[in-house]
Amino acid sequence: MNAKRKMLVLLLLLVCLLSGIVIGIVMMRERIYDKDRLVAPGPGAEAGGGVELVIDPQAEEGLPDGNDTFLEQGVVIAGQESMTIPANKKEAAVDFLNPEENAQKYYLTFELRIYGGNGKDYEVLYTSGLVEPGKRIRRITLSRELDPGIYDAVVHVQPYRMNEQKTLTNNADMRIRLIVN
Amino acid sequence: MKKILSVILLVLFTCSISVISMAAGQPITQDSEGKSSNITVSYNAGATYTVTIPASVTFSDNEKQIQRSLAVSDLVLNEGSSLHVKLTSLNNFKMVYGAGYIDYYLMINTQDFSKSDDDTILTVPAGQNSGWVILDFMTNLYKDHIIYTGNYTDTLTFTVVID
Repeated sequence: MNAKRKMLVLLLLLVCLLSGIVIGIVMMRERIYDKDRLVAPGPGAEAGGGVELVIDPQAEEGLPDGNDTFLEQGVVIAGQESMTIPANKKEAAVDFLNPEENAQKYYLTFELRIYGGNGKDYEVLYTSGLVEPGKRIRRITLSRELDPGIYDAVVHVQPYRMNEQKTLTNNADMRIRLIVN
Repeated sequence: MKKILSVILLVLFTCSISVISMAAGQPITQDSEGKSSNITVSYNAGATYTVTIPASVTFSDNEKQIQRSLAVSDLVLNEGSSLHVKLTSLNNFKMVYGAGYIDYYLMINTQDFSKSDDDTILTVPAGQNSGWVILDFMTNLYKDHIIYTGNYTDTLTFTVVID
């Protein structure tokens, strides 16, 4: 009796397992089929009708080229809230990066400015040359040493097109807290 | 049977102690008495971001309305602070060539930004990783005064402020 009951339980388990496998295979096949055939909702969509969507053969690969002014790629600039440099020293470690996203499009130049009390007049502490995309400036020499303190500063980023004329583009001012200690 | 089971349990127990000691990075010897070691994993996350600004806007007779976008991404801010992007025009929204000029306008969310007192075009609060805004530039070109041939230009400055 016990052996019969065990056999019955085993059989039930086997049936459940097989049912699961079959249901899984059927669902997977349906998913693969639906991937190839997209149906937009429309009249009669519930009954299996609607408009069948197909891939547009006119769609092009990748990003727009440089001649497409409407979709022109902007200038990518990395910023930070604060920067720390040593007091009473001209040498300083920084991180002025031209991101790789600007490849073949824009050089960047960096200018470090500190502002006076009125918020308008500023003094330029450092100006870089053209930085190529994917490259960064890590060490700079300031025009003068600074006393310890926190200064209102701006990293002025001026992009240039990577053409023969090196045309100026719009620019960015990244306001930062310059911590000198 | 019980003996065999005991031996298996003993072997498993010994192996588990070895695994724990290896994970702690310190070998446990016969002199060890409940010793443990710790490492500290840390990352000092200063406020950083990436901003993508429109490089230029070039109008022509056939193109008097141009759309651009400004985007902020990879934003990491101190809790409670916000990032603002402000926009200023070198020539007060006039393209200039010599003494001549051509007016243009910037519409943001159907508002004429060039006549607005507030120069902020985008604010992204801490907790959001990104933000963007569509900028619609428009000009009437030769509508209200005579102009001469030339390359009329203006320069926009996007100022990023964190407060």
